[in-house]
Amino acid sequence: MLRLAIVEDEQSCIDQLKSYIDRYRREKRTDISVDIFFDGDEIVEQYAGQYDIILMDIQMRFMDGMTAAEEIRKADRNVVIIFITNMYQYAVKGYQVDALDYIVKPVEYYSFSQKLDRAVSRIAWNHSTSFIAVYTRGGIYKVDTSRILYIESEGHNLHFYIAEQERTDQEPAVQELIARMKIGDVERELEPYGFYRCGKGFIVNLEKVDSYVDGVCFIGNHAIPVSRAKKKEFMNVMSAFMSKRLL
Amino acid sequence: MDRLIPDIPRLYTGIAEWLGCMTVLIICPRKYSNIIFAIISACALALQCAFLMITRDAPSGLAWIACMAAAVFIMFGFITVSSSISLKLSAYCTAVAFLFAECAAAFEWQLHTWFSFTAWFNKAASVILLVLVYGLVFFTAYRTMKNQLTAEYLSRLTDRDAWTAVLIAVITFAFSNISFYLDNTPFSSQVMVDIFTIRTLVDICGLAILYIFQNRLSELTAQKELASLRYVLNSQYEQYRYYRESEEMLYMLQHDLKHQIEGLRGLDNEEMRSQWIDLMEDKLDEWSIPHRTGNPVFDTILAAKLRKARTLDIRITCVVNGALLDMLHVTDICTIFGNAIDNAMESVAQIKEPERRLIHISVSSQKNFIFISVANILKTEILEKDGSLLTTKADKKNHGYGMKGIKYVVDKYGGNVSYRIDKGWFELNILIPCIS
Repeated sequence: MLRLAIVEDEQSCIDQLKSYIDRYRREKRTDISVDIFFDGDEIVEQYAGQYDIILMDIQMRFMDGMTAAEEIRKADRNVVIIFITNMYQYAVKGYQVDALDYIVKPVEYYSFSQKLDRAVSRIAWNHSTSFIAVYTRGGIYKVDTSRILYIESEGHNLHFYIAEQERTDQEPAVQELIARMKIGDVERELEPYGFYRCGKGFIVNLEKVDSYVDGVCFIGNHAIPVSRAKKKEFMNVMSAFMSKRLL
Repeated sequence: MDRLIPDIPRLYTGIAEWLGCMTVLIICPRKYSNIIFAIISACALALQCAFLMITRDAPSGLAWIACMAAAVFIMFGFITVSSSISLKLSAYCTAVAFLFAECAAAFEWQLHTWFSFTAWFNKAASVILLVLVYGLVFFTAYRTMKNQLTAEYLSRLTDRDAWTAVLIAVITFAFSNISFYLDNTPFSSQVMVDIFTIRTLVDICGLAILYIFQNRLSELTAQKELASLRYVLNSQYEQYRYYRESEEMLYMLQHDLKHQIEGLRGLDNEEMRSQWIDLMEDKLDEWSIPHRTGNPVFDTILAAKLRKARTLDIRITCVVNGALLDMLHVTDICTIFGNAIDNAMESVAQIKEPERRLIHISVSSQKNFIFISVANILKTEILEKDGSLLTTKADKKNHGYGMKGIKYVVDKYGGNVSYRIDKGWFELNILIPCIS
């Protein structure tokens, strides 16, 4: 079920959005719950990460949408925030709170449904977790794929470099697992989860790539070469990956 | 004619012609998968050699020429069937393949004849010689043609160019083999060894002419391309300057109107006054620069494009961190966004229902990358051919330059341009790495 919140002080706009959501629910056969807040401070006060999508008016009496969004971001990095506005000026700055789209009043159903579609696919991406079995000498490990930084092959072994915990601003400790697996098999298994084989002996988790300079991509302080033949494709894949994660 | 020294065995000719076709086909886009292609080429090899072997006893003169023409036709058929290029291009490629085949066969046989007078030359040595010489000639052919016969080059080839190549091949063939069908001309010879020399030299000349011809053609297309690119790069900048001027003018107008409002406040009739003021303020809102992204160049372009979008009833939304664009040069920002937004607007303007004419622009930083995306709703799927987008515009030759301009500019920053079609949206995605 999709949990959605509307933060809006105009009753007419709330009614319209609710009718659009009803229609969307019927057309897409998805289950959506809706909560209503009449001002920014109302949602911020009791926010505990309970929503997937927040439709937020920018101009409100007590706490404006921008400030509310900032507060919410502090608690929840994943919630999708879409502004509703008749003032373009403010919505453009949405990137500051990672709100990468907005809806202009008067809201039209088509654009509303399009934007909701994109939000839903982004949520699906955020929520999906997947695991891979890593066969080491000491036993089989079940590894969360989102924790894998990259994989390097050496002789008949694969070295899995895995972040110890969810990456924050500090460099996380990196764990290394040595597995007897074929790189081609691992490549096939991980490809749907945003991994890319950037050379003969390397598979990188695209989400973890920090930067790219002249045929070398960096994950933290690890430098991983991108083979000459794959340079262009690597950037294409990277680009497509980013676009999927954006709204 | 002295027939003591044998001419090129037909099998050798067949192999050379087949190798010529293979060289071209490795370079050109093919229609089928590798397995099917392998089957087709095996059949082609068998057919080519069989045909030439069967007709080996054909008398010299007209019948001989007809046989050779038929062999060339088999080559043409092979190339047409297995590649996805047009008939015109197949003809062109056949000419190229044929010239290389002739040259390889003539050259090999000349060496063969020369070595055959030595004592140690036997069957095994002759096979080694064949492999070596054909290998050398066709490897050279592959290396030189790979750079010349690019998809870009082939797509720009005109009918005239194709005919010219065919003509080069025909004339080369006619002169190189003149002694075989005409005994008594100033260019014929009665001595077999001389005939071989003439044939090899004329074939090499033919190849040289073809090479120069192709080089010249690619240079010409490159020049044309550059001129158009320069035009595109310039035009968006020119537009930007124009926009900026008109933007400044509007700003002045805005101030002027503000003064007028002041004056209007003094008006007696309450109702009339408020009506006037409302009207003027509406006008002002309409013309004010709606976006302040942090990059003045982008703001100016966007303001102008938004105004155009309003007249076309197009909805543009954008979330842009303008500060990120500061590292790009003014003209580059113009080229990227001017062309990208123009293309998107052109595409959605074809959609019937105004509420579906949506464009979304985003510029954001993703770790140490700048990610620019201009997305629009698609009317229909855009076809892709050879990795470059097909234009739906009537003016085929000049369009697509907008995209080329973007690519050219983004390349300068070591970035990448790609397209993605997803759930009815067309996305132009630009990824630029930035070093921090």
